[in-house]
Amino acid sequence: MKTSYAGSKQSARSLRSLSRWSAVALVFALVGCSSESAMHRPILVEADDRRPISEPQEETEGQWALWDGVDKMVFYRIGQLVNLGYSVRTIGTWVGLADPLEAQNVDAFDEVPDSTWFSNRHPVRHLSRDELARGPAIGSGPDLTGEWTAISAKESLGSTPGFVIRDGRNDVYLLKFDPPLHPEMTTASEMISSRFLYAAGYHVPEHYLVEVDPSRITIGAKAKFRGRYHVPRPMTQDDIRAILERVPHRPDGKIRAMASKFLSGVPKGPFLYAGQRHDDPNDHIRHENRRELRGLRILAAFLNHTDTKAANALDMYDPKARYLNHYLIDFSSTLGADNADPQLPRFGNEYFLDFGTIGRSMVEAGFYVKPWEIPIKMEYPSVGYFESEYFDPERWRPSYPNPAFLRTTLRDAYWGAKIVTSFTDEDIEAIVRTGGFTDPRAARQIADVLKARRDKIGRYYFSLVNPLDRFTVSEGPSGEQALVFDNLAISRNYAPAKSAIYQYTILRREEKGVDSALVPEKIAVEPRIPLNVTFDQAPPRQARESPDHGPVTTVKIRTSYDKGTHWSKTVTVYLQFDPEQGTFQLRGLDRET
Amino acid sequence: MRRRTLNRSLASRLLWNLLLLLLIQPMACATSQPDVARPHEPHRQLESPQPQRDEPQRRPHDEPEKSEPEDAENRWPYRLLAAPEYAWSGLAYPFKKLAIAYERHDVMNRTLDVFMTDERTAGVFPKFALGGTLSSGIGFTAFNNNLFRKNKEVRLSYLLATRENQVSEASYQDPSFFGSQWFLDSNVFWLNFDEGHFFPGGNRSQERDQTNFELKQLAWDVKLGRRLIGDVSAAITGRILIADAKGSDRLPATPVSVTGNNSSMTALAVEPSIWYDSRDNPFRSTRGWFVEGAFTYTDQVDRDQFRYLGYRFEIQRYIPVFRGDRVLLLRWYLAKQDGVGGGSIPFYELTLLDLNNGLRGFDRGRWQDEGALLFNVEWRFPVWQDVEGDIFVDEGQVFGSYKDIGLQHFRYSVGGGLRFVSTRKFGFRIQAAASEDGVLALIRGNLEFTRRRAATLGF
Repeated sequence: MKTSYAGSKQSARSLRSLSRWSAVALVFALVGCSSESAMHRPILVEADDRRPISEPQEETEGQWALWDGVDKMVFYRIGQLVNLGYSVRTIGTWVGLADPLEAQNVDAFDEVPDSTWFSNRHPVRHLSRDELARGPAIGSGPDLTGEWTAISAKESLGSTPGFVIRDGRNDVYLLKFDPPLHPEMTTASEMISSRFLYAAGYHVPEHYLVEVDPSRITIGAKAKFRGRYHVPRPMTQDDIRAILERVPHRPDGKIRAMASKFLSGVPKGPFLYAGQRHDDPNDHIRHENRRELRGLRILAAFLNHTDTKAANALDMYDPKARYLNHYLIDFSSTLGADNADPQLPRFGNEYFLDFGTIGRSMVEAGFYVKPWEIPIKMEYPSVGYFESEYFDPERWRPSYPNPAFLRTTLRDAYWGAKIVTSFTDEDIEAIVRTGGFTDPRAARQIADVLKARRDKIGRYYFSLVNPLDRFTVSEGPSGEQALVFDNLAISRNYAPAKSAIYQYTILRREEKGVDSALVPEKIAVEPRIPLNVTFDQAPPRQARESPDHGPVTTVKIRTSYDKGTHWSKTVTVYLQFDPEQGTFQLRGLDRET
Repeated sequence: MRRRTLNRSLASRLLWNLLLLLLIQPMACATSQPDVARPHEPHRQLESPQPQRDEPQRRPHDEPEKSEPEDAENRWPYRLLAAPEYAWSGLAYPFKKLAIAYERHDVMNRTLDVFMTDERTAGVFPKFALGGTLSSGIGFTAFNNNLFRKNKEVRLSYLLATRENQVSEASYQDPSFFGSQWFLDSNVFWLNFDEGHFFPGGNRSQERDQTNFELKQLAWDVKLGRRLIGDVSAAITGRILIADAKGSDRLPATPVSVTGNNSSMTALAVEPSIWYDSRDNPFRSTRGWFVEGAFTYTDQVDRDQFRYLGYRFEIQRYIPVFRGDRVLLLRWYLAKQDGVGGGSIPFYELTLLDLNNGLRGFDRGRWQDEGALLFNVEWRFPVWQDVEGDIFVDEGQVFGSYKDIGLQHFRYSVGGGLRFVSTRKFGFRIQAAASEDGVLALIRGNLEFTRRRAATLGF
């Protein structure tokens, strides 16, 4: 009797444990899904996010840097921890039971469609050097013939001195100046970084380098100034004088400034890097799940854009077309500048409040020496602190956590790395020239550091993801078809060897069931895979295999740079066969990470 | 029977879980198959021979070619699992409102302006004591770090603690006395409290030997000094000391037989001192030496009971490690007093081992005798931008005569803490030290070993 009771207890315990485990498995199954196949993603060139909407409210939360910082460093992180869907999936990813939640707005080719957030530019259609240097600028900057009327002080709490003017053409510009000890540093950073981000595809304001003649500036009748305790008050000539006294003057009395043209439309506050705007029906992807915001992490690392807070983003409502455009603004904390100071060595390497490094420093009682603690010599005041020696693309971080960056997956990073590495040495030099450095050695140093950072990014991410790209189906003279691609690691010089071999298999994709091999494992020594498959012996198995929905072929490719000793992750390319034309067409691709 | 029922119930729960799994999993993972249009040929990854500068044209909204898929995290299972995050956001909401209001209305500067001048060189700020030597109390500090705009510093602090204990300190520092190379430091310290602890028995005393006394004391120091050569300086200090000690109401009271108890004293003292100070910053040192020697002669003026001579030597060595932001501090301190001319030393003037937080981990006044010997080793390291960590080992002993010194008599404490440094004039440290008497936490409004009477009380 006693034994039976004990057995009953044991059995109950094991069943209870089983039940608990099944509940855990349930949660895992619920959230630990594998990532979505390219065949389930649409082919998109342009996102449908320009539908007319009612004018949204102005977003105010993101304007407050203190709250944004505290939230992202503490509250948001705790929130993510208690979000069971996210945290359990993250654990599932660590233990290999789940894939990370990939960006939700990518198309079948794992690319970002053009949208109100992003327009594919340089990486897709190589911009000319002139276009790169021009950036978003479509005019020539402020009118230099008439008076400039100061209408307000800078609204942001940033420490870069500046104010807002209206020129003779009635255009409004934000003027930003350099700090006295670092002439050209901040304005050059603004000019250069805005052009890189524009070329990458982001929407940014027009930035112009101008010479300001202080005598040209008058004060508008309604000009406001941020007074004591941030209370607005009428602007006076003393305010202008106080700002201009703090900035470096040229020998002729003129002042170098960066003029940022006000964006057209109605400002609706910053976009947040997490969640969605509930008053914008076009906004149906959570911002932290947008590829262009996740991938911005790599661009930001390249440019050392440490200040990617919400306040440095802006939504503009187009009252005619009636939709929102999303912009990145304020690049005065990029490259070697941190507003009116040079970047600190720790910027880009740790968060302002970095629990990881603080904890490690405490536990290791000072015997943990952070690599970036030994600063590199700052050679040119106009460059500030900008280096590539300690730069580690994976470790790089902004001043405080950015929700989209926290979710950057390898696929997102690869996307960003593709953009960064699309800038050639000459492209970089062309953009850096727009910084207008007086000392050519300063410009050369900026360009050299950018090239070195770009190369580190390329080398790192192209080693983690199989960087086969630019797939096309080519047809030979006798009608034979082949899948042709570019190995970005080889073509951009980041591969460990000068050549590679490719192992591939071609399968017939089955919607349900196991794919059948059409071509067993083979090796190609060129980035060209013959599509010597016919479907004659394999009649359509599903009603969907009509001319519009012909059979789908899967080509799985791995790369080796050491003659087959080590193989990369797999790239899977989907090709749809048109039985009528007898041709293959690209349908999508998946990257193993 | 019971076992079968239990098994059935658990099996049914398991079954339900699995059924739910089958139901929810496809919903959570499912992606609606978008309309698959004919692929674009060639795919836009190919370089266009004629690059387009224009932004993409808006597509008429009634002719959507294709739309982005919905965000998986917006599906209801994800939303359900995010419920704790929504709840957390609700909890954080008041903090958000406060933080935004704080920034919007510039509360920091408004607050500072209540207590300090615009230039932050003068002002008044509240002072609080929680626990510690003075128990709990409230007071203020008024200061001016640029008196007469001539870099003269004046400070007045007052604290009213529980049991009507009171302590006050006023100081004046003139780095250039009447424009000369002499400096003048003047400090008045006034104390009225009934929580003094005295442990008769010197180095042999036990924690349970604690006795309590009341002390009223006024000490006025005037120190006039100047730099002699290089980093060597000398000073002479004159002191008026008025004190009245008696057993406390708190038991056990300090016995009447203890020298100086139940008596008062008015004394004059003179203290010549010489020191070598090559530290980079006395407020927060990272390198250099501090070596000091001083002799003190104290003579009671109202009676003939107390007359004594004291001397002390101290060596501090700050060794920068790595780039100077890690510091190893080695400190040695020796003090000795002797009665002269038949005079004696009142017990409250005996050398304290923790006069300047020397032997942490013990109560104030725990070790007191005519002589004291102390060693400190402290390792300081950066933790965050204005925060340092430290680890220390203190060891020391008090003695009546040199022949009492012995290795076996050393008392030890080990501990660590954090040091907060914001400006040149403001810093504090929180430390915890473990000793044979237990673990003691310290909060001090200074960063270095400070020899001030007020510092003894953590004031």
